[in-house]
Amino acid sequence: MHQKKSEVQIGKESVGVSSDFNPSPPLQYQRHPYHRHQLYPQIEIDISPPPPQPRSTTTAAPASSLSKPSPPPPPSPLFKSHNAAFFSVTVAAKSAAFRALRRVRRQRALLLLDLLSTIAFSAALVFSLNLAFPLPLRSIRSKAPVREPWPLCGRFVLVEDCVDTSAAFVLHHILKRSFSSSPSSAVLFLAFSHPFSHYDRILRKLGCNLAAQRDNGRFLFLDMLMLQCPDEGKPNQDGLASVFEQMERVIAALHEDKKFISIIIDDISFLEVAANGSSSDVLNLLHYCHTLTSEYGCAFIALGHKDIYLNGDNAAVILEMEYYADILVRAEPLSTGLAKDVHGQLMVSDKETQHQHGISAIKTHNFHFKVKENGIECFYPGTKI
Amino acid sequence: MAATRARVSSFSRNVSTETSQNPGLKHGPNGTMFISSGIPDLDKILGGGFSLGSLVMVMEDAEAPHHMLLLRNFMSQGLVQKQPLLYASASRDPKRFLGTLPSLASLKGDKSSDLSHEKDLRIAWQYKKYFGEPQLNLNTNNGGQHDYCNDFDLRKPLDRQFFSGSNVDCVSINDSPNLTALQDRCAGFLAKFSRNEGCIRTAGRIAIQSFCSPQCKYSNEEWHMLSFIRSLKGMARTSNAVVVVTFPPSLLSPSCSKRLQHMADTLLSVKTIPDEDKELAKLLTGYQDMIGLLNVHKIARLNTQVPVILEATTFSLKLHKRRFLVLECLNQAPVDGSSGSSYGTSGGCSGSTKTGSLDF
Repeated sequence: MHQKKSEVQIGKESVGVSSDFNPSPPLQYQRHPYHRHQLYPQIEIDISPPPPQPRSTTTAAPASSLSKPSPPPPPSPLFKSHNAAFFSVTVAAKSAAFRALRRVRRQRALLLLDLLSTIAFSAALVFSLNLAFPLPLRSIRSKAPVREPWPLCGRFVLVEDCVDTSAAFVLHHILKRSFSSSPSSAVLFLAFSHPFSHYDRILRKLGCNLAAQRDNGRFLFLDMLMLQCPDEGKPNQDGLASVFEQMERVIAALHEDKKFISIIIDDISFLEVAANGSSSDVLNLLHYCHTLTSEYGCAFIALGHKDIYLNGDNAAVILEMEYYADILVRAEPLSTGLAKDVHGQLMVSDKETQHQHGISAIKTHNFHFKVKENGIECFYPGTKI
Repeated sequence: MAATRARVSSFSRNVSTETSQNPGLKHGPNGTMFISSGIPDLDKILGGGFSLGSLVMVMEDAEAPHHMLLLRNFMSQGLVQKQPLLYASASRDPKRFLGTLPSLASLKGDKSSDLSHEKDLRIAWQYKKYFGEPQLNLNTNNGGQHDYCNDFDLRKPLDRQFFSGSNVDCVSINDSPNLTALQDRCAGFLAKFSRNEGCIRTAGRIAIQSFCSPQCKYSNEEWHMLSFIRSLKGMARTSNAVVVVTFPPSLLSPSCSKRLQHMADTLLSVKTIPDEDKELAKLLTGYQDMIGLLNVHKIARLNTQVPVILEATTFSLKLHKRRFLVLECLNQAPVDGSSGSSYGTSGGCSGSTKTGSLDF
């Protein structure tokens, strides 16, 4: 944290620090064009320690102005390290201002050049300071450490599996991550195959309390286990259209205060059975759900079974979903049989729509996985110890 | 803001009171309860039995009725432990099937002493299966009714005393044009075992035999059948009952059969083995005693995401002393020294599991 200083430098400039000194916000610095001499923070980021130079003229460029000795670190252990930097910087700024007043009279010609370089340097410095040290005032003001936004926003994830290997663990993982990603995230869950108690117990082992999230309004569980659309010919009151209307109402209400909404459909094949096999109804519902991703920026995640459609009949549903999907996750059993350490293989395909040269690339990853009670272990094939 | 709410912990307590009152129930992992399938070996393979609230589907083989053995043991076990039973089949008079249910095995000591006698003389080629042997001798025979799982003697019919009154309900699905009537009957039956109440008094069993057999009028309406099974699964999840459904997958379209397989929580399949097959006789020991093969495809994972990986998924169905149904692991016969090509010809242990049905 402390730059090496020669004894000469320490002797030249020693600034006293008062105990009741309050560090001011960094914006103040930009008003002092000559504080660059003392903006010599006790950090190592993008400021290279200069060779020690005894001269103290201001005609030097900003880089060499770092040769100016830094004030000694505050002796009191009460000050934190980042506070120390600010103390030194602001106190140094004050002393620099006094010196600047004296120098202005002597070197007025170079003032403009110095001013520009100083402003640029100080801006870079303040920026790097912010990155290095969370300012005590700023961190109090901000809600939480900045995390990256939910990466699945506005994307459609299709999870496929087969009888031998179930990929429900992917849904559990996404469910858990969607809650931990941001405090303003919500999940709308359409369950066709398992009731709430099943998911509650599983997510509890993963470290997420679904019952509490449900009470907070961040988790909406629509139990569709007994949903059965009426047969053709009858009015479609209970049909999939009403399901979608309910979904849209819920999301429009959620959208006001929650930014990252995820829609998870448990099982597409059960949805088809509920729709009496009418693939056009199912495709309409899925298409409308897909529009929600663009309209509200939701993430849409669905689980389907690939081996049902292998024979070609009724394959329209899965083929259209694979076409729409931005990310495709496929779980398959190992071709070599069963193993206790490796439960299957996972293939993740990410369709990147934007590429530098306009070419859309598909990134494919292959993993082996082992499902545990409290998470998933993914590893490259052959690396399981 | 949060009022005092009963927090259900994921740790399960050692509740011994409930199981001592009801020997037919056993606590399982993750807050589930098990009931016995009626076959002790199958209970061991499945890790305790059938989970309450699960749907068990058995894929039949059109050539042989081995699935009936599973059903019979399942139903007898329920009757012996006074668990109400609903039985549906496509025959005109399902009650007659009840006459073929096996009775409790009477002389248990006889069976165990025989096995121990065999153990001394046998040369242990396959020593793994002897690791589990000592457990058999520890079972005490205190009347049989108070055990979790009983042995059933397939040669003797079940005593009349177990068919008391309202315990057994039989439904024939031969005449009905669709499955709505059966669905209502099942709904009424399962409502008696709803899970909302605190303690479990008793568990229920539903057995549906040959679900999509061509005798039924609805057998062409695949989506109708799928929606019935799906609603049955949904109703069973919220009740303390186990539903066993057998169906012949060869009579359905492949996608419909796959959908049914996905719906199952526990999936078993029964296959026949041909008589007098010399190849198989060379490959397996005890081939002469085998009547069929049982394959375990999926085991119910309620309240957990971790799958169960079994050491072996194919077991042989044997009738011990022509009375007791036992499941055994398949054991390869010792390689004959003279013919060195026995491994090459069999092909059962090489390559992927898709090529052969035998899984070692």
